[in-house]
Amino acid sequence: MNIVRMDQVTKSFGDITAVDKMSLDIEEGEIFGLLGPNGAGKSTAINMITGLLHFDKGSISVLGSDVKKEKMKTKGYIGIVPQEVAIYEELTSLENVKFFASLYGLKGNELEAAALEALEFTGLSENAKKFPKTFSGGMKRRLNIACAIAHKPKLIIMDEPTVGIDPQSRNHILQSVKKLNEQGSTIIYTSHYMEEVEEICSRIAIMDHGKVIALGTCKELEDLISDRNIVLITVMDLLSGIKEDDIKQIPGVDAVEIEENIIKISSFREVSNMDKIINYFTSNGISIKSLESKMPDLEAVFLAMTGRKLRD
Amino acid sequence: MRNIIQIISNTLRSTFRKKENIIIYIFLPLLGVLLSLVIYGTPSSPVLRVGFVNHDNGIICEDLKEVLSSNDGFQLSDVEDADVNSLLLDMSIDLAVIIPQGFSEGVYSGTLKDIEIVSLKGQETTAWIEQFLSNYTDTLAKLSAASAGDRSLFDKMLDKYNSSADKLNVVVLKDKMVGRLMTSTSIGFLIMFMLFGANFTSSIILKEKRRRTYYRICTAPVNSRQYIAANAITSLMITIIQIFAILLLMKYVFRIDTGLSGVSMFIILLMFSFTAIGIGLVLTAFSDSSYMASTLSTLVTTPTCMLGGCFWEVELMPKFMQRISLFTPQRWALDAVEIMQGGGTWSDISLNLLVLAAFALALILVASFKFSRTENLQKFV
Repeated sequence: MNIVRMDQVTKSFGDITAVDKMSLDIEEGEIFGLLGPNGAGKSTAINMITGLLHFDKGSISVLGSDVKKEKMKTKGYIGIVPQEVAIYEELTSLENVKFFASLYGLKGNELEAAALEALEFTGLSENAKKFPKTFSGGMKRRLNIACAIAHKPKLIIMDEPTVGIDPQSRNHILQSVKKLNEQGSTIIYTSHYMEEVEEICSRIAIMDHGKVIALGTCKELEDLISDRNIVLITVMDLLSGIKEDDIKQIPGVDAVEIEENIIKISSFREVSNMDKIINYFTSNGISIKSLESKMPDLEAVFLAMTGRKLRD
Repeated sequence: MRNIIQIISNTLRSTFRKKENIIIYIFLPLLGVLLSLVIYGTPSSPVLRVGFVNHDNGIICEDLKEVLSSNDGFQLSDVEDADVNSLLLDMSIDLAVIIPQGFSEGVYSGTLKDIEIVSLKGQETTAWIEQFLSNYTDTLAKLSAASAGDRSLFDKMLDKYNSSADKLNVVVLKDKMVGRLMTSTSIGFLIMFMLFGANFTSSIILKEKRRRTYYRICTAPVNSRQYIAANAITSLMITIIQIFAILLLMKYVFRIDTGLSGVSMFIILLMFSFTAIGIGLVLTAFSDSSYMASTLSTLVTTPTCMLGGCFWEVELMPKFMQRISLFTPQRWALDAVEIMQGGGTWSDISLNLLVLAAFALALILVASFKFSRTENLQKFV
């Protein structure tokens, strides 16, 4: 069964087309990864699914209900974990969760029980009566999640839920996502952390310029660039004056990513260009510290597909 | 309806859990109004405190002193010339009357010397006593001319003049006009502070937008009309408390006669508060940032209050500005107060109330429409 169906959806802001004829089906029970560089159209797509943004063309349905015609009904199916923590500092954890859950029709004992369960789920039950201003960043992120799940939504949209938190809290959140999925929620997950997406998502869509440019499981996406080799070159000097465009001039190279002193080069397998790559560095007086060849991963797929890093 | 109640109770809980917010949202606007009541609402004492500096010590000076003392409008005290400035500066006296040396001799000889009046408050304070002294010295001059330098004749004539002065039966009328005018200025200020008070709605919504809880509420099954209604009702509750407090303070603490019944005043102010809340909502709806909202609020509130007659009588403005002032809700509210003060009935102010209701409805509809079309929920700063 389709939880979300987007059919030829277009949304423009003035002259800028943020989402361009986007079609997407998200099946029940999936953890669906939505990847794309900044400005690719992910947030616009999410806001249209949640009914916050009006779209110009096409149609969107959530659990078979049209988002435009049955807005309140579809909103009730969804729980959203916003990118930025959206809670009331003046209210206790329990009051926060109860307030947001009450907007979905929960009341009385049912509301109290659901709020406590959500806090238990996110590991905050001992802090139910505490105010979030005393919480760490990770705890606030977990409360942010608790506020979105207390009403037991069929679809949970998590927009970068692990930004800026410690590894322990991140791990807790990732485990929570899997558990929520096991309990029957379908999840749309966006993140800048590729390893998170590889770890938890059953299917991934890569968006760029308002369109879905690749869609499939992690393996299927990696197969899309099975004809490429990935070379990781670590250089000695951070300020070695390496230019991406110069490397891209080397025959066979289709994408380059530079992060600090590590240069990731994607090349077509059929072209033998390793000697030319090494020559580029040595002829420019750049000392190579190490060189590693690796199989294509999701990050390489993203780079090859969009020509940009995920954090761009 | 349930969602509206939930949002109202949540707003009140999250706002007033911090006790200082009670001061910020309820008592600070009250303080502004009270300040204006103290400045404009309390009539100053009608008795002039006169410092009497006597360089003459003649019999005529004693007579003048006695005449001044017997007048209820003056409170006379003997002061030294050297102390006049300091007494005026520390407001112990309102003015000083300085009798020059040889004043009495001048009267007898027909060469009257000028009496000096010193005051810091200007014409407003000295006019009355100037007139009084002018009348007195005129009489002295006439008596002096009639006595032709004969001192004993002059003294007899003066004595006879003083004893035969017309006796008046004084009936004190309660001057409601003073109270009414004072209150009119206070109500102008009250209306201005209500407009600033309506910023409660704006500040709550702006805060919700800044911390993204607004975004979260919007993702729940809550539509923009419910959200606006909840915030408008919350704001109205705060405003009603403020109006009650102000009217009670006016009546029982400052004892200011508004010239109309408490109920009438309450209804007029309540109708205006709907409009004030509408203005607050529109400003918030059209603002992309807190800074923009605050700037817009200042740009709208102060000029419309000036134009609407909150600070001065509308009649003092040129005709075309008086016509423009009809487009401000402040003008209609103040007019309604004035009509009721003049003995008008509900039917006399029905148009005013209708216009205020129309202002409120139009503003709330515009805000509601704008809120439903806003697309930058996540980018507010």
